[in-house]
Amino acid sequence: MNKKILIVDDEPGLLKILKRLLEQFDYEVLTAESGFEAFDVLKANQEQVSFVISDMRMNNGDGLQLLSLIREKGIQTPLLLVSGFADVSVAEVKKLGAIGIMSKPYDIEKICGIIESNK
Amino acid sequence: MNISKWFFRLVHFFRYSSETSDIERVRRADLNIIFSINIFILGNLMFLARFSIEGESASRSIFLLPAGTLFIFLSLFLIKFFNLATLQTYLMLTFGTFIVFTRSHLTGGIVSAVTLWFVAIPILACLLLSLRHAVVWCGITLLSVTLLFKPEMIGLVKVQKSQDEIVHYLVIAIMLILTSCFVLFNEKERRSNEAKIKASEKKLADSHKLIALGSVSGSFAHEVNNPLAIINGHLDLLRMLSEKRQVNKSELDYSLNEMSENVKRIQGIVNSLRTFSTDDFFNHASLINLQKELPLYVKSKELELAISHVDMNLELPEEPVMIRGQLELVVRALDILLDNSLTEIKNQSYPWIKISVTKSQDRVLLSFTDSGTGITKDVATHMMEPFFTTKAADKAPGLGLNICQNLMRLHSGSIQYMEEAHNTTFLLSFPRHAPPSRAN
Repeated sequence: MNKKILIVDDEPGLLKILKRLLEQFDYEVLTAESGFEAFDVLKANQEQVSFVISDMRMNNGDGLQLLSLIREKGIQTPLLLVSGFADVSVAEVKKLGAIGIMSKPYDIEKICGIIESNK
Repeated sequence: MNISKWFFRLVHFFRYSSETSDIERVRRADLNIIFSINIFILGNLMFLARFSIEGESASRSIFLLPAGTLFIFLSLFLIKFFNLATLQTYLMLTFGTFIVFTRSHLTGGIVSAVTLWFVAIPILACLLLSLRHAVVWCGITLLSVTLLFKPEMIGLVKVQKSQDEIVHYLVIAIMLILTSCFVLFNEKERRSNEAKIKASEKKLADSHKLIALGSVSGSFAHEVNNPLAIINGHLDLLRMLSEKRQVNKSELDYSLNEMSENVKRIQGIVNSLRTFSTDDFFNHASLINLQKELPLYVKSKELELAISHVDMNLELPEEPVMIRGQLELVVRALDILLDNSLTEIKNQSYPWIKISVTKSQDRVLLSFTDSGTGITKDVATHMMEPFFTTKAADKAPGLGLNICQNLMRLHSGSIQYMEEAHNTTFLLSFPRHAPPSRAN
C-alpha cells in the first residue's frame, strides 16, 4: 500500500493534473481546494495521509494558515508548500514547520523525490 | 579668526547641533526668522515711540508693550498668507519709511531724514535676501552710524543730539545688522534643508513605486505560473504515458485542450499588461458612434450594477456622436472608471452613476459622475501617476487611472478630474468626427 498524499490548490485544473501525475507514480491522492477544506480532510484522514502539498496563496485559508492550523493541532504530517510567486524563503517556511517551498511550475519527479525522502 | 566667523559660531550655538533632523532644522530656521522679524518690529516701535511721545508724559510709553505684543501675534497670522521673506521685507519697508517720516516731521531737519533713509535703503536689499545684498546693507548701515557721530567728515553740520538719542541710533543700527544677518543665515539654511527634504521625499516616492512594481510583478508571476504549471503537468503526463505506450486519444485530446486553454489564459494576462503601441492603434482605429455604443456598454454592465445596487443613468444626444478609435480601448477606459466608482460608492445607501455625452464644435465630451463626494486634493494630484493607489498594493497596483489617461492620449483626447463638481466627476474629451456619409 502506497502513501496517501493530500494536495491543496484553489486552481481546479492544476489540482486535477497533479493528482493524475502523482497517480502515475502509484500514490493515492486526496484533494482540497482551500486551506480550511484541507484541514478538515486531514483531520478526517490523519492516519492515512502521509504527505501534504499545499499552494501558498489561496482565498479560503492559505498555505501558511493551513500549516499553522495543523501544527497547532499537533499533526506532524510533512507539508511542502508550492507557490507561483514565492515571497518567503525556504528558511522562513522551515521555521514554521514546513519541509520547504517550491516554485510553480514544478518538476513532478523532484516532488516525488521529496515525498520519498520524507517517508 | 575674524569677527564674522565668531558671529556665525555664536549664531550656530543658539541654533542646532549636527544631529538635528532636516525637518527640525527647517522648523527652527522658520522660528528664528519669525523671532528676528519680531525683534526688529519691536525695536522700530520703541524707536518710533521715542520720537512720537518725546516731551509728552512718560507714562504714555506704557502702551509700548501691548502694541509690540499685538504686532508679534499679527506677524504670526500674516506669515500664513505671505512667505517669510516677503513678509519681512514688507514690514521692514513699512516701518523704515514710517520712522523716516515721523522723524522728519518732528525735527524738520532734512539731514536726519536722509540719514534715516539710509537705514531704510538697506531694507530694500532684503528683497533679494542674498549675501551680497546683506553686505551692502551692513555697509550702508555702518555708514549711517558713522554719519551720526562724525557728519562733519562729509561736510555736514553736526546736529546737537542728546546722549540718549545717540544710544538709540546705535542700538537700532546694531539691531539691524544682527537681525539681517540672522534672517539671511536662517533663510539660507532653511532653503538648503528644504531642498534636502524634497530630495528625500522624492526618494521615498520612488521606493513606494518600486515596492508597487514588485507587488505587480509578484501578482503577474503568480497569475502566469499557475497556467504554466498546468501546461507543464500535462506535458509531463503525456511524456510518461508515451513512454509506457499508454496514450489514448481521449487522454491526448483532454491534455491538448487543457494546454490550449491555459496558453490562451496566459495570452490574456500578458495582453492586459501590454503597452499600447501607436502603430497598432492606428491600424485598428475606426469611427465609433458613442450614441449607439454606450447603451450597449451599459447593458453589458447591468448585472454588475445590479449586484452593487447602483443606478445607472445615461444621457445621450439624439443624433450620432462620432469619435475615432478602438471600441475595446474606449470600453476599457470606461471599465476602469466604473470599477473605481463601484469600489467607492457600493456601500452608500443610494449609489448612482451618470454618464452623459455632449458635443462642441470639435470635441466630444463624456462626463462620468458617481454619487461620491469628490476626491481629496492630495489624492487628486497624484492619482494619474502609475502605481499610485489608495488601496493596499496587493489589492490594486494603482495603474487604472494611468492606463485610462494613456488610452485617452492614444485617442488624441484627455481625461480630467473635475475638482469643482459637487460629485466625483471625470471628464473624457475626444476629438469629434463627422458621421460617414451615406454615399460611402
